[in-house]
Amino acid sequence: MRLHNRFSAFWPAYEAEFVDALCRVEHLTHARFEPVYSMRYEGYMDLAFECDGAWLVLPLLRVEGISVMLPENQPVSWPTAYASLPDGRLRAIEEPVVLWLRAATLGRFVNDEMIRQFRDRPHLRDTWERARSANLLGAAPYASVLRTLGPARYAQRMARGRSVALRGADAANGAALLSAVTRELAWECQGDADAVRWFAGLPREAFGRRERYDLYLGPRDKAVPAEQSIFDDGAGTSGDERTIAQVEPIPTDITVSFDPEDAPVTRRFAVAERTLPVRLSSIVEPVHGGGSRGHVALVVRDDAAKLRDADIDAAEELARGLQAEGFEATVGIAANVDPASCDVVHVFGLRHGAAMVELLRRAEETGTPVVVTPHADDRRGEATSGSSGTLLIPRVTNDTVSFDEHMRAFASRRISNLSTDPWYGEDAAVLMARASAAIVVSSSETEFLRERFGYRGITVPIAATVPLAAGTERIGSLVGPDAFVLVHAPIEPRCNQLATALAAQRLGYPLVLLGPLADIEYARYVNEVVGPGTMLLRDHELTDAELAGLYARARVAADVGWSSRGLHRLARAAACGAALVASLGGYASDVWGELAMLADPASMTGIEEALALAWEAQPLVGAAIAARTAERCDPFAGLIAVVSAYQQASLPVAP
Amino acid sequence: MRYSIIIPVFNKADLTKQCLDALPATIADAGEGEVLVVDNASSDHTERVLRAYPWIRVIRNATNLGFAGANNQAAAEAQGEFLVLLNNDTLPWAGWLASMLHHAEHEGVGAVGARLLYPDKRCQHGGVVVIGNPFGRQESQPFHYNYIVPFDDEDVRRTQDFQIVTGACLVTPRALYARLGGLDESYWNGYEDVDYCLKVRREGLRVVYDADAVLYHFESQSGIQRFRKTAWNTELLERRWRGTMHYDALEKNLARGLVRHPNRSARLGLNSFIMATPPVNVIVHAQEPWVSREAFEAAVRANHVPIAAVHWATSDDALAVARNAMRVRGLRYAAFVHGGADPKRGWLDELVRQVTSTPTTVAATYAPGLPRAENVTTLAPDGRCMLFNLMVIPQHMELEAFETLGGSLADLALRLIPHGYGTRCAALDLVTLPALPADAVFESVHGRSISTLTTSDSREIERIMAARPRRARELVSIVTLSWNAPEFTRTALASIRKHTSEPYEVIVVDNGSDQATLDMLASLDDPHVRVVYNATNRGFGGGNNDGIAAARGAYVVVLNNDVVVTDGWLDALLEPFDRMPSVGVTAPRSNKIVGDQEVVDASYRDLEGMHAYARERRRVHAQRGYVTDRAIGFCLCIDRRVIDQIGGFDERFRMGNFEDDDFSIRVRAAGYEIYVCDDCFIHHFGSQSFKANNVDHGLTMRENWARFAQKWGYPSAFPEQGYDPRKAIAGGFDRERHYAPLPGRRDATSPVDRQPAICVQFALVVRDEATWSQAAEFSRRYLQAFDSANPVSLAIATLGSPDAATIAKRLVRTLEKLGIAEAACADVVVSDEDDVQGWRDRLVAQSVIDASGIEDRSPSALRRLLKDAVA
Repeated sequence: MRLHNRFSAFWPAYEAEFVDALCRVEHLTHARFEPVYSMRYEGYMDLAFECDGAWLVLPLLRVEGISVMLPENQPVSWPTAYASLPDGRLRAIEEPVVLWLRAATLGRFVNDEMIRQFRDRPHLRDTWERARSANLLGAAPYASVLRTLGPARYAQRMARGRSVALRGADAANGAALLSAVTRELAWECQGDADAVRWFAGLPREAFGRRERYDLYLGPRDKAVPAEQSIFDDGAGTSGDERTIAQVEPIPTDITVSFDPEDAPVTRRFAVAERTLPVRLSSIVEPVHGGGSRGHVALVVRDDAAKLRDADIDAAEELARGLQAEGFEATVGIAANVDPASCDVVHVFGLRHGAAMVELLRRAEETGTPVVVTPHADDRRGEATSGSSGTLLIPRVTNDTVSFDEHMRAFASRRISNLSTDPWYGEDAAVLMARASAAIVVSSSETEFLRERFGYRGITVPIAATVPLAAGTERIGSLVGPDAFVLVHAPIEPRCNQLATALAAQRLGYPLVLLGPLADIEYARYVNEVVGPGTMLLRDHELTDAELAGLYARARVAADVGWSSRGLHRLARAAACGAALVASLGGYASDVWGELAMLADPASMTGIEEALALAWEAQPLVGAAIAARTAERCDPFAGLIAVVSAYQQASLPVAP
Repeated sequence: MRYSIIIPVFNKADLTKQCLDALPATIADAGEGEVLVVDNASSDHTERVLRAYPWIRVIRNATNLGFAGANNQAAAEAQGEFLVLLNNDTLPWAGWLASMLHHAEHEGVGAVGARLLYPDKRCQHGGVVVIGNPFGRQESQPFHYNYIVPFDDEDVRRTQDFQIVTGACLVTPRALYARLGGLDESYWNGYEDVDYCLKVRREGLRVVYDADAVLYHFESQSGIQRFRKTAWNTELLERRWRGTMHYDALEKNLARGLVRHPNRSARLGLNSFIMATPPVNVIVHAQEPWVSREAFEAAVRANHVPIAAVHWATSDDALAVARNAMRVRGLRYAAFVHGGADPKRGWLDELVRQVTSTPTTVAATYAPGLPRAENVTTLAPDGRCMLFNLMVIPQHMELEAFETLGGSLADLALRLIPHGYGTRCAALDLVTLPALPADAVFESVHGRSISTLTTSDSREIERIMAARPRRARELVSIVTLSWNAPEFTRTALASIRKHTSEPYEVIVVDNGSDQATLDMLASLDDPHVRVVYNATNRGFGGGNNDGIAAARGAYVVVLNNDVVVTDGWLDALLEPFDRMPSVGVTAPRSNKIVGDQEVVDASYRDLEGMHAYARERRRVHAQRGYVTDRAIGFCLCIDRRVIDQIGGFDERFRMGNFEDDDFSIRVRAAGYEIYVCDDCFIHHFGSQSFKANNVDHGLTMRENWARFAQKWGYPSAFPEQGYDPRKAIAGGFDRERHYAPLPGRRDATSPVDRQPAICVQFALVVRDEATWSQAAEFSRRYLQAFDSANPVSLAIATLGSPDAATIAKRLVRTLEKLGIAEAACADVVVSDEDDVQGWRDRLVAQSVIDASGIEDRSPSALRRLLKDAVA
């Protein structure tokens, strides 16, 4: 039996005994194959079983197209949720289904939905057709089903371990989704009898069993008392409610998305806001003296506007500090900086393009000192090949077995060098050769710069400059009431969100992946594998207060990337007492010592262990982490050190 | 005003500047016009850059309207007769616009595109073609034609019509643009141009690629295209144009003599493998054509696809002609046309297009009465007008004799369905078919007439596939070579005995080992094992061929002696033969092996751990694997039918290396699949025979590459980065050139420099002391008549009194009396048996002679017997 873990957020969670009783080849009634939009050729299939009027619907069996056409492998992968079913029984079910698929694809394309009824009874066909008309999961095309699932998918972040009541036309599909996360589920909908038979294996408490639910989802006019509510009748918002826009789904590229940049908005619903306690930052607001003079040009990557990361946050934070002291500090890309008009050029990061080389040339001409914050943490030289590998593995694997196998091989470095491109190119060497001063995290980084680039200039150690927390408590409708793991970085292989998401999913920890979309293919894999506990948020859509609120509520902040652009964001969460999981190759341990959990970015199990340790330890060590951060990342001390670096860099060099 | 150039910009001011700087000089010959730049709310210094060009009109937007929105906005203000949509990341060459306008002014032209090049002068855009997606909701996928082909390629330099050209540089009449509603703003920065061109074509107008208009295009300079937008765009395109786009990728490739080959090894079928279309053999059969042969042949040849020969077959020799045309498989096609048919221009191009469209298509035909012929499988082609792809037909599957050739072809197609291959139907308007001749033999065999096979009912296909008979577990012969390193052979044999399920036999071929190895082999006590002794090393191929010649099994496993097999290994290797009828060879995964068969995460420390690891692999990878063009010879499980068709290993490779590559190519060329079983793991120590015998591995590699390259037509330089076997496979298996004979079937004149394998066995049953006296006398004569160099053995079974050990001691004493050294004596095997019949069945020689029935036992008579038996 092959298993897959794609789209687990959409798997219904049935009673185990019910599945065991119905999931048998003799009960198989319908198979529905829906080729989905994908250049990688995987399709998905729903199976329906019936026994004594009760139906079991198993959606989202993955069908490997090439293996249907070329029978090298069993083409069907079952959701891992059904892994405990006997192997032989699933093989018996696969046999007629695969035969049907192979016969139907023999010598032809499969571009259309295909439906096969295996038991030729009219009443089975009637029930199935009614379920299809009602857009129920398992009978209707995914696009139709997904349109009904927006509120429930959003509700997954609030429903974890709680009592939930659903009403309305979409309640049955919603219940199927929420069954995986709720403690208690009451649901009723139009066409109730059919829907109840269709989802007979779902938990279904009677309405009125409790006076007040933790969460209600449905039309406003049928609402029951609840701590939090999602009104899906499109009647607008009122008071403290947040409006959420759902876009047109395109299975499986766009499933249920709340990002209006993905596709046209087709539906809006309202989420009642909820205030949540946030922790205070340990950072003390510095008292600026002002009165300084000079123009500092802070130079960032050319793609800074699109791909905001910790380096941009750090540059802007530094600019604010410098401005408060009276400096004229600007943040810009190399092409926009004129060295002749500034006193210091301060470059963030080592990976720049031709414009930077030109800037350095002009700076040399004008004698403008160059200071660098290198963020040079790829000490093992794995960032390029690691990033390639982390993208390659989901691309070449279609089920959990081969995925795990490749991940193990990857962790033991047995997947050979996928890419030999150096992470630090010649531009980095030019930059370090030209730099008069380097602002580093620790002496380890100094050592690396000496070893890698032969750098012998001034080094000034500053862990990070952290802004004050101005977090809002009003993020309950954004991430739900549970503690969570926060990863704030561009979504790209370098940042390794896929491994972190899978590790968090195995542990059952809610995860917030926050950041811009940097790599389209990688983001797609992340989107496929995330379970109900993972939230994908785009940082540019959040207010500063909401962003700070997320930092101030995260239980664990993780950054297990192949290379990071500084510790600014980890430090920001740490200042509020979040436990930390960082990459083994970076410099987090130089700042937080044993308080930071380290993990090998290649090892999913290593990340899982580190996350578990950090999650468990947070109540015990959160205060110590906050205190250590206040000590090591004091913004005023950092500012003084930076200015001192500028001064040293400006001194004439001895002949 | 003749033209209005519209350039939408969003940031990337440097590129915009570069483009604008180049414009005046390159459009000077294009007449009067205007340039409109739409600034889509750039946040960089675009505004400042644009101020430097007083001759452009700038439309500044507060928000980014996207590509379509900006173009439509500018088009509304444009005054030129023609609109020129131009990206800012282009750098035009001289004369580009004049040339495009020249084409645009032709009557019936609705859009003109340009030749766009990357800075390294490879082609970025040379027109856009549409390819069919074999699996997935998105039926058609637009692709850049001639992508990354050198800019001066002949086809790139040819102005031609397309369905679609890119909007990065596109000229279209302003009136037409307005009438069609401009670019569709529903698309999100992509595919608007595709949509627009399709609308132009719907109007009955031409879309022209102008190869003389050249621009550099710094593609994808606009930043990351969000994948979700891509998904949305393609989805929208599919919704709008599904079923109306023409799959012209193949057509264009056909026009160039190229066609996509369904490469089964490359998992991602699309665009993976382009090879030249081989010439097609066309057979005209059934009756004389209704026009002259010359006129008919001219009609047959009216295709882009090259036609090698047109064969005229009479009813009498039709089957022989057809068999001959299909004798060599490989990347070849055989087309059949009924003499009464009326083929029109392009009839064969269409069939090639159909037969190469999916990897499970073996034949294509024209069939009346089927809905949406573009996408329909029929049960079988009837030969009136059809094409077979020979690549996937196993060599042992031949045309059977029926009343008509159509019956033979339909029968073959039906037999190929359980192999997973079907027949596609093409649209009907390219051929007029005659009435289908009746075939009574076919009806009696299949219980239905050929005409009823024209159906698209997948349930019927399902029934045929389900009815495929399963192959029973049959005897498997395991052949292993021994060349010194006896400890490895002993370990391998012990693991085989422990982990192999019955029925099986083991043939150890000793390739001239030292005495220690011979002693070890002599000490083996396993009824499954037979030893074939060679006095000298016959190499990997020769030694294995000796073993294969002696093998009796329905499958032969060629297995290195430096391996440890694991639980269920043989069952795992056999299972794919039943699941996939096209499989001819299976192979395992291993810890230490060249190429894909190596398991990258094999992390055990000792043999115990290895077995646990292998068990776990067997469980989690059950029935999983992949097809490949090349399997490593350390372990190959070969179907007897394959050996019958292609023979053994080619012995020209002597000691080893590349003989397995050669074997793999011949297997694939003969239409069989090679399947690597993920659920079969075998531990491999690796090159132990080479190490034990101080063989220079690198040297043999290079020497054998030279032989291999010469045989298959590769360059003689050693390919450090590997080679592509598909070229050799495409040539097909030609029995006359590629069959590698096994020793027992050698021609008498061929050089034989080896000790032949044991092929005669005298069998004696000792029931009691009384029969032993007769047997002892025979044994003495036997030992006198033969020595170790003879291809003979004496097998003695005793029922217990005297027992085998006693008999062995007596034989040793006999040897001593005769003065024959043990090493020089002929083979004698003695065993205790309860089941005499079972023992006789297990005797594995080609010729077994009951010694008790031989009257003349003189050494000379015995030698005569041997000579006769060997002959």
